[in-house]
Amino acid sequence: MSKLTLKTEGDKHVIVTRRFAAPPEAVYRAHLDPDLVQKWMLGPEGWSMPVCINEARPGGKIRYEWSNGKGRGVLPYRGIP
Amino acid sequence: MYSLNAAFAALADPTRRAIVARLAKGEATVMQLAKPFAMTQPAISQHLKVLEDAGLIVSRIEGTKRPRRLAKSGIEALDQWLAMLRKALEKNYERLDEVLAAMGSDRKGERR
Repeated sequence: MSKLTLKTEGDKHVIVTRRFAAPPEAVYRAHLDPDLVQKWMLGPEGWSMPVCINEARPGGKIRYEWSNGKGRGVLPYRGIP
Repeated sequence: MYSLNAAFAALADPTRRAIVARLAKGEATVMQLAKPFAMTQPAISQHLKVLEDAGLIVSRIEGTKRPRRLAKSGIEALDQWLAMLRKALEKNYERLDEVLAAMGSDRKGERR
C-alpha cells in the first residue's frame, strides 16, 4: 500500500496512483459495485453517499450523490455510452 | 479580500499561470515579465492587476518600478484548499483498504 501520488496529464487529466493489497479483480469490483462504492467513496469527513447508481453496461445509468446533512453534491453523468 | 473564486478564476488563464510560475522563481518587474511572453506591457499589467486583485501577487515601489512577487498568504490558501482535496482522496483509499480487507476475509471464509 504505497502512498498516493498525483500526476497531471495535459490540461484535463489527473492520474492518481496507489497500491492496494488485494487482487485487481477485487479493486475493480469495489469501484463498480454500488454497495461497495458507498462504503468508501465518501470524500471529506462527515459526508455520506445516499445515492449510488452504477449500471456498468452500455446504456446503463450512473448517478452518485453525496450529502453532509447540510448540502448535497451530485455527479450527474449522462450515462454510459 | 481574498476569495478562492477570484484566485481560481485568475488562474484559469494560461498566461496568468505562466506569470505565477515565473514569479515563483523570484520577484520581477513588468518589463521582465513582458519579455518571455511576447506581450505588450499594458497587456501584462492587466494580467498583473487581475492576479493582484485575486490576492495572489503583491507589488512594492522601487523608484519608478513596481516589482511583483507572489503573495504568500494567497498561495497558501490555494494550497490548503487543494490539500483538503488530497486528504479526502487519501481518506477514500484508506476506507477502500478496509473494504478490500473485508472482501478478502469473506473469500477466505467461503473456502473453509
